[in-house]
Amino acid sequence: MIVAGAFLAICDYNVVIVADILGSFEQAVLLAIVRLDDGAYGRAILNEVEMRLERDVAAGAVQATLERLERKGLVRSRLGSGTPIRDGRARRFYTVLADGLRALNDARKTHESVWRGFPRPLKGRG
Amino acid sequence: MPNPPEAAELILRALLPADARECVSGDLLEEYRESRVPSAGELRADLWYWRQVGGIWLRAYWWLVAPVVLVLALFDTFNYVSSPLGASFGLPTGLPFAVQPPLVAVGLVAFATAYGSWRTGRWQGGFVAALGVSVILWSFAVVWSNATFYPFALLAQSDPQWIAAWH
Repeated sequence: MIVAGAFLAICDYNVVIVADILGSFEQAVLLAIVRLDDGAYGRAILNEVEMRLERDVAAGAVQATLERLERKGLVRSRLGSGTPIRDGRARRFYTVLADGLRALNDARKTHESVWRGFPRPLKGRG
Repeated sequence: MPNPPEAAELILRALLPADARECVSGDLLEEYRESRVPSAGELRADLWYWRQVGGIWLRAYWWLVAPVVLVLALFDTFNYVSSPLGASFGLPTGLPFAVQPPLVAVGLVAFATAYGSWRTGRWQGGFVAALGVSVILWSFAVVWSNATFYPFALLAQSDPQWIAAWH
């Protein structure tokens, strides 16, 4: 009985982890990569995320998120050539993998399911 | 072409692991030259650059500093509230209380040096990690002691245990 309960709890825990795999910032970064397509490198992603979120975003936050997404196997990166304005320093280009697209679709589905039935904009009783 | 502050650039390159060094510093340099300087001027662009470097440091090492700062603050508060005779309670290490905070600080700086060197693959990375930890610990000590001096003195004046202890 206890073992069965523990097993169910672990399954439930895993379902929560899978459903909640992407935070909103991770979604913004992944979507920026999808939008930028072949031009998705650090600075372009930073600017795209800033534009979409309409606020200043730290370059370190984007970089840390990209590293995390790559560790999770949701994106892949390759080194590209540098340009004179960056003193020839290489650019790292990112591509969203199939698992990344799946995670984005799951996140969207969860988001829509949670909001279904509520009027827009949400109004309080007060 | 305008350049970001040299010290910030040096710290940034020491702070980043080998595989991110070129790309991240290049991204920041490009943004600095193409967007920040033309739109906000060199001074504000320099500040922006320093902020990015600080943010990258914090993201890498905040977990080293935050628990220690929290523990020091908790112990200090606890000692003021619970010790009418002036006895101080520290970590259960068997060492005298007076040597514990310096030992914790020195140990933390040594650990930050080792971890930073390992993470970046260069001794400069360890130096930057240790430097940041030292700056934050000293700043915390100054701010904390100034911020708590008056409230703790008020507490001592109104606490019957402290008054009895003085008598």
